[in-house]
Parts: sequence; C-alpha cells; structure tokens
Amino acid sequence: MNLSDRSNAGQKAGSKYLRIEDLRRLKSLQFAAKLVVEGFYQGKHRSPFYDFSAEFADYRPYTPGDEIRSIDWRAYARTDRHYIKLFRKETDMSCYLMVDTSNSMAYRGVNPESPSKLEYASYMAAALAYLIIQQGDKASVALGGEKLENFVPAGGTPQNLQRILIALERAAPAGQTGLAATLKGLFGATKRKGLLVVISDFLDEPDQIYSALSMFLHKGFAILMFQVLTDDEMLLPPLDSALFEDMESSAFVSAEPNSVRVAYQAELQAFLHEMESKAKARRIYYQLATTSQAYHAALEAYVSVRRRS
Amino acid sequence: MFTWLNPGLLPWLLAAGIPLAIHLLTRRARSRAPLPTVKFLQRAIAQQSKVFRVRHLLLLLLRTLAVIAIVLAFLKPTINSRLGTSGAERTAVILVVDISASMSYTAGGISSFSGARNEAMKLLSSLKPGDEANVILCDAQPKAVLTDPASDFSGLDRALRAAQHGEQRAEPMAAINLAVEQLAKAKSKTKRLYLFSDFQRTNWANVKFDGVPADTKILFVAASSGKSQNIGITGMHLYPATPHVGEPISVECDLFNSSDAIKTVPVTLTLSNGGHSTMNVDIAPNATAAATFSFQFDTAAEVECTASIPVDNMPMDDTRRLVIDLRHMATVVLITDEDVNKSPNGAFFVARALRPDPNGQSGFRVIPVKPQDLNNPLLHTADVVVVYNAQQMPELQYHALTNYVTGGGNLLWFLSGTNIGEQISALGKQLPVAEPLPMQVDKVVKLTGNGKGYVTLTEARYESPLLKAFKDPAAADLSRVHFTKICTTSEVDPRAETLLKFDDGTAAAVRSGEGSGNLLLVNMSPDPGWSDLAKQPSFLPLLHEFLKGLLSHELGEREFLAGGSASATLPTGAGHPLSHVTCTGPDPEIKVTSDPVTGSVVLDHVDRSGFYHIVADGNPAASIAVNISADETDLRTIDPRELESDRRRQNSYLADTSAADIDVGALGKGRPLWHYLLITAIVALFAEQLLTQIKPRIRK
Repeated sequence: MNLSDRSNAGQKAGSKYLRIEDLRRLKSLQFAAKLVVEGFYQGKHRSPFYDFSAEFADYRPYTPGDEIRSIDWRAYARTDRHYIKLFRKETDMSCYLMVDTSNSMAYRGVNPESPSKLEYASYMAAALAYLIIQQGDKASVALGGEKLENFVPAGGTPQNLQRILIALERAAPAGQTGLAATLKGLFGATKRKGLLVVISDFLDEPDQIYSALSMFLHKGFAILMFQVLTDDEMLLPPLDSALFEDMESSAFVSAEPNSVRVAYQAELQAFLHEMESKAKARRIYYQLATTSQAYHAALEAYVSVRRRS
Repeated sequence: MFTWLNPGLLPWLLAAGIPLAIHLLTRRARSRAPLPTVKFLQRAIAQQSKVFRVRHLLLLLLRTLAVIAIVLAFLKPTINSRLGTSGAERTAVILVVDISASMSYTAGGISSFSGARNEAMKLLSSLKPGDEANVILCDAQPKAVLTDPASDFSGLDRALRAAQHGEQRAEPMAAINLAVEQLAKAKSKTKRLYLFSDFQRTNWANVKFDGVPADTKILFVAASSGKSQNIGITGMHLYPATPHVGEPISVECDLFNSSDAIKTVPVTLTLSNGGHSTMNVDIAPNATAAATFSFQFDTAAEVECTASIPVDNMPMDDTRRLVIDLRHMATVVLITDEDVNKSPNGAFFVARALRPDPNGQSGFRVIPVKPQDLNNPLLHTADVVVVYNAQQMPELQYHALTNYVTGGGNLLWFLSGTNIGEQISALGKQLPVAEPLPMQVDKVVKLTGNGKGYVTLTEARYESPLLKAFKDPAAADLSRVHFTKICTTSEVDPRAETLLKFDDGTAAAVRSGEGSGNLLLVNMSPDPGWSDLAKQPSFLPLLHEFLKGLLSHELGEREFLAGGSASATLPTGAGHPLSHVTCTGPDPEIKVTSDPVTGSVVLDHVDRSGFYHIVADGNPAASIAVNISADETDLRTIDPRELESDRRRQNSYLADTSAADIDVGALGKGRPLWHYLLITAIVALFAEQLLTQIKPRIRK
C-alpha cells in the first residue's frame, strides 16, 4: 500500500468526492446556485400547496368542515361573516441526483491517471448535493445502470449529505446501460415534484431515455442532463491500430483510429446533436462535459447559462 | 518456358513472406482497447468505401508483389528461349570470334574485342558437361583453337583469355567455312554457330551462309553499335610510281572519316631522312579525303615515309607507312624455254631490250626462269612477268600465273611459239568465268599469201598510257616493223583494250584487267623468223612503254598488309649470290624466305604493321612497309540479317547491337523479363504509396 492509499484509507467515509479544496470553490458557487434555483422556483421555494403557515395568502368564505381555529374572528367582527384565513406553506425543494453506474461509466480513456466517467459524475453529484443542502433544500441520490440499484431519499440535513457521499463512494460500475429502466425506478420513488439531475454518458437509445424523462416532465419536474464523456471517446484513442472492445457487450472491432477518426467523430457528433436537440425540445437543460474538464466547470457553465436565461 | 539466368538467388523469393510476416506480427501485437462507443466506431467503418476497408489487404498484396518482382528481376528470368534446347540434349557450339584490327576500336574504355570475348567466355561457361565446343579466331587466316570440337571448355576459355585482337583484316567467309567443317565433326545433334564480330560492312557484305546446314542455328553477336567515331589513313600513293632522283615526287595520303560529322584532321608526313610536313584536311562524314605532300630527292636512297594523324579510338589506322625506293629498278621475271644469253633467240632480244646495259641503272632488272622452275617467291618479287615462248609450261604454273594476275600482278605474254594457242587456252581456263581472256588465239600463220608476205601495224590507241609516248610519230615509227608470222585470233572482247592492230585487222596488242591485275597479249615476236622487230629502233621503247604503262598502275597500288606476306627484291651482283638474309621489324618471329640467286625475299605471314628492315650479308638491304587493311578503318556495320543469302532461313538470331548490352546468355535463353519486373515493382510501390495516402471517403 503506498502513501496515497494510506491517506485514502485514513479518510473519513464520504469525503472522497467532497474534498476541502472543492468545498472552498463550491462556497463561491453557492450564491450563484441559489440564484439559479430561485430562478426555477421564484425564491425560497413557496409551496404550491396552501397550508396553515406563517405567511398570509388570502381569505375564503367558511364552509362546513373547515377547522374552527382557522376562522378569522377579526374579519367576522368587521364584516359579520365567517372567513377562513389562508396561509402559503413554505416548502423545501427536493433535488434528485441520478448517477449512471453502468459499465461504460468505468471508462477513463487510455490514460490510467484520468478519472473515470463514474468518478467524474460522482464528483459532480457530490458537489450538487452539497450546494442543495447548504441552501436548505433536500437532496437525494439514485444510482443504477440497468435498474435502480441504490437510492438515498431526499433530505436536507448534513447527515443526509453524508449518506449521499457514502453511497457515491460505494457505487461500483456494473451491467449495461439501461437508463430508462433506472429512471422509471426512480420515478416510483419520488413523492413530489422537484429537480431531477441526470449524470450519465447516455450511451443508450435516446428515444428510450427521453421517454422515461417524459414521466418526470409530466409530473412537473425540472430536469438537468449532464452527459459525461472522455476525450478518448470524443476523438478516439491515439493508437495506430487496436482491437476495440465494447465494455458492455462482447462486441469488438479492429480499426486504425487514424483512418477512421473523421467518420467516427461525425457519427458521435450526430448522436450528441440528437441528444441536445431532443433535450431543448423538451425544455430540458443539457450540458456536455468531458472528464478532462474540471467538473465544477460544468456546473459553472450551467450557472452562466441560467443567468442569461 | 521460364529460365533463370541467376538461379542462385532463388532462395531470396522467401523474402516475399516478409510483408506477410510483418502484417501478421502487427496484427498479433495489436493492443486491445476498451471503448464504450464501439457502436459509433462500427458505424464509421461501415460507412467507409469497400476499397478503404480492404486497404490493409491491398497494401499487403502490393508490398508482397513489389518484393517478389524485385527478387524475380534479380533472378533475371527469360521466357520462350529462341535458341532453347531441352536440358538433357547435347549441343555443339562453334564460336567465331573476330580478332581483326577493327575490333580494337575502344569506346568507354572497353574495346569491341573485349566485349565480344567476355560474351564468348560467358557462353562457354554456360555450356553443360557433354556439350562440344570450339573457338575460331577470325583474322586474315582463321584458326580453330582445338582440332575438333570437344568438352575442354577450360582450355577454350584459356585460349580466349590469351587471345588478342590483331592488325589483320577479317576473312569471315573462311572462318564460317572452317566452322562448318568443325560442326560436321561434332557428334551432338543440336548445333549452333555463334559469330562475335563488329560486322563491318567492308568485311561481311559478301559473306554467304549457304554452306551452313539448315539445322544449325546461327547467332550474331554484334560487338559494335555501328555508331563508331573513327578516322584513319587508308592509303598512301606515290607519284610517279617509279620515281627517280631529282624528279618531283608526290605522296598522297587517303583518309577516311567513319563518323557522322565533318572532321578536320592534321596529317603529318615524316620521312626517315629527317623531313616532315603537316597539313589539315577536312573530311566529310563517311567519306574519303586526301592530303598530298610533294618532295624532291637528290640522292638515290630508300626513304621511309610515315603518315600519321592524332590518335583516336582506333590507333592502329592512325599511322600508315610507305617506302620510297629511289634505287628501285622494276623486276621482270622472264619465263621462257629459250636461252636468254644465246643470240639470235627471241628471248635474247627481249632480255636485251629490257636491260640494254647490264651494269647501268636504267631499264628493268630481268630474272629469266624456265617454266618448270617458276615458284611463288619468284612471282612475289616480280613487278611484271613476261612470258616468251614457254612451251614447256606445266599445268600448275598456269594456275600460279592466274593467281598472280588476279592478285594484282602484271603479265605480258608474247604470242609466240608453235603451240601458243594451247598455252593461251590453258591460261584462259584458269581465269575467273566473269573475267575471260580478251581474245582466243587460233593458230600461227605465215603471211606468204597476202602479196606482201608481211603485215604492219596500222592502228594504235595512243590514248592508252601504254602507247601515249608514240603519239608523236617522231618518237618511233611502229609501222616500219614487218611481221611475217602472226597468230590469228578471235574477236576481241569489247571490255578489253585493243592497243595495236595489224593492217589485216588482226589484234596486235590487247590489254585486259583480270582480277586486280593486268594481262597484255602481244601478238608479235622479236624472233627473226617471225618479224624484224628486234632490228627496229622502236622495239626497245615499245617494250619499255608497255611495261611502264602496266607498272604505273601496279606500283602505285601495291602494298603489303598485315596478315599477308611481304616481299622485296634485293640487288644482286653477277656472281655474288646472297648468302644470309635476316629481317627485323615489329613482328620478331617473322619467317624470311630468300632466293640467293634472284635476290627475292619473302616475309611469310606478316602479322603486324610497321617497317621491316631486311639485312643481307650484314648490310641493310631494303625496307618493307606493312600496313593494316584499309577496310578496317570503315567501321560502318551491316545488319547481320542482311547477310543471309537464303531469306527463308529461320535459324538466325541477332543479339543486341550495343556493345554495352551484349548478352548472349539472355538471347540464348530467351527474351529477358527483368525490366518488366522492375517496372511492376515500381508501379506496386507507387500504388502502395497512393493507397497509404488515400483518405477515407464517408458516404452520406
């Protein structure tokens, strides 16, 4: 075991994806993220449900069955009529962070020092969870490849953040990409509408993915998609000749990257364009991130886009 | 059928596996790389053109093809041998190698002879054990190295290595006849005749192959491209032919330009007495020009003249030699049965007329000889042969006389004697069919029935050099001679020159060219029983003018050539025969034959050109100039295909005509393919480069 391993061994559980230097950066993001979230929900998220709470909203005539204590006796004194005093209920936003853990997310390119896509996605998810809980909202995380494997319910406490981080740390890539099934599983676990953040390579059939996301859209979810790829996937690895093996099936193909690179990039760009255009059509925010970028750069890019809009 | 000229390189064909091995090793060493986006990669490959997808296989194919083509090119394959025989069949091969002077022509540091010899040696080395071979070295007298064709290839190889080109002219016809004899001795069924020569038109134009059996394949290997650049001195002529002290003398040097450009050449004439002169001569392409030098000598001596031009690619003909003998007295061999010292024999008068003063320096040197004693050395020394009343002439001597005349000699025959008709008829039988006697002699008639009892000379052709001195009637009156006995003759051949006629119309003197020489039939006799010619003052000048007229042609053209024999006549005093004659010159092994009595000296078979100095009894006696044949200077070639007299002959083949490209082996084994293979290799490598540069075409 080398020194870095020992230091990792000595780390507190759940701290892998939320490092001190990242937290410092995220502090600066916090204010911006707050604006962003408020942009979605118009401020400190007022509940769409009227309830008995501190903030007055409206009056309505008394109807049998209403609680007697909700009658505004002062209004009765002035008008001689029974009115019920209505208050807007202030709620927390629930943010569901869905991280793809299929085998393809284990890819890190030919450079072994590069982070895998799953690690990169986990960094992003951890950062978002921290931001969300820091501003008083609730964060949840869902992990799965072919199906929903792990789910941490939404919570706004530091303990919940800790649970999320531990879940992310323990996530291991397995199975084929079946994002639609995973999303369907998550949909069943959500109780209220909120914010859905999907972090994946989306190497699946776009129609199936957007079909699953449609359920969330109908329920009133706002959706953010972060598509994570490596540079080697974008450009093909810098090899003279190789036998390329698919990570989720037994398919392999022999190719000389230099001779097929142009055609490959055209194919990949067509796929990415399809993903992005379908997201825009559904008012879903779509962001492409490569593992060579700093992961918070992807978040910053998102923030800047939201500001402009 | 394919044949490899370098079969030793066959194992290199395994190199064709190198591209395949590299391909396979590369495939095995190909790394496995995981990639989540394989499906896009598959689609990308599927969208590329089919050619692009199999590009690596095409590259492998092209590289393998290039390697195979290069190796095959070095193997020197040939196809469809035109001289090919089955491997087991024994072959008899006769190699005729030209070693004449023209083969010394050198271009690019390699002489024509070296090129021809190397090819001949290469051919020898390609023969199988059991084959038979012989080499014939072709010069003026072609010789076979072995007595019979044999398998002693190493001996033949040694003989070829030792062979050198000479200074002689080639006699290809003689060489081919010798080759046919050699092939007849061979036991092998398959027979081939290889001719290695520069195929000079001057030597080969008249060669016929009729004598070569039809089943013998003939291969011409040209050792010259026919575009040689050579200038040579082809002749030296002396005017007058028999000069005397104090007389103006001209030496004319002929030059030949065997090239395609006009040349200006400085010609230098150097004399052994210290004099020399130089002049420039312009010579048109493939043409002759002359440089004429004039001299006058005031002492009776023998002067060696050497004409020279700057050395070129063929130095042998850049120098030519001539001896001017101011002491020269033309030699007349008088063949007669009579005693020349006994008067009043006709032969006595003839001999006395030829040299009136035996101790003086005028007239002719007369060597009387009996017909049966005539020999070739004597004929060699003769400037003119005079036959008078030689009734005892053996059959063999007619043949010798005919050869003498056709070879350039001069023969004056007095139609005298009882059987003169038979003698002239015997002479005529030996002459070439194309050049018969100028007239036939019928019989001797005594002119008693014509009233006068004699005839006189009434017609003369004074334009002839032989009679021009008599154009002035004051010089001598030929009509005063009375002839009481003459020979009746047939009509004179129109090609002959009738010099004199009797008043009855009978020809009195007729000259005709026979071969290179002259035959003069004189229908008169100084015998007192035949005429009063001996008493007439016109007899001596008439005889002298006849001989000088004949010699004016003969002496100017007569020269000795390398490969032939040379001769001289040494002055002998009465009663002082020569006892010891030696010769020094360029050829140290020259064989000298001399006649102590007549003073004739013959050098048998002079191989090399130059001055030969004859020493008699310890004293310098004469010089002989020997030159190379003028024919060797003209290097224009004849296409061997023109040579075949029988156009239907199919068994003749011609090798490349460039000296640098002679390759008998290739011709013998078929058409070479190596250059096609090199082109294939180049095209394959070019295509390989194109294929590596090609960009994938993406189908939309």
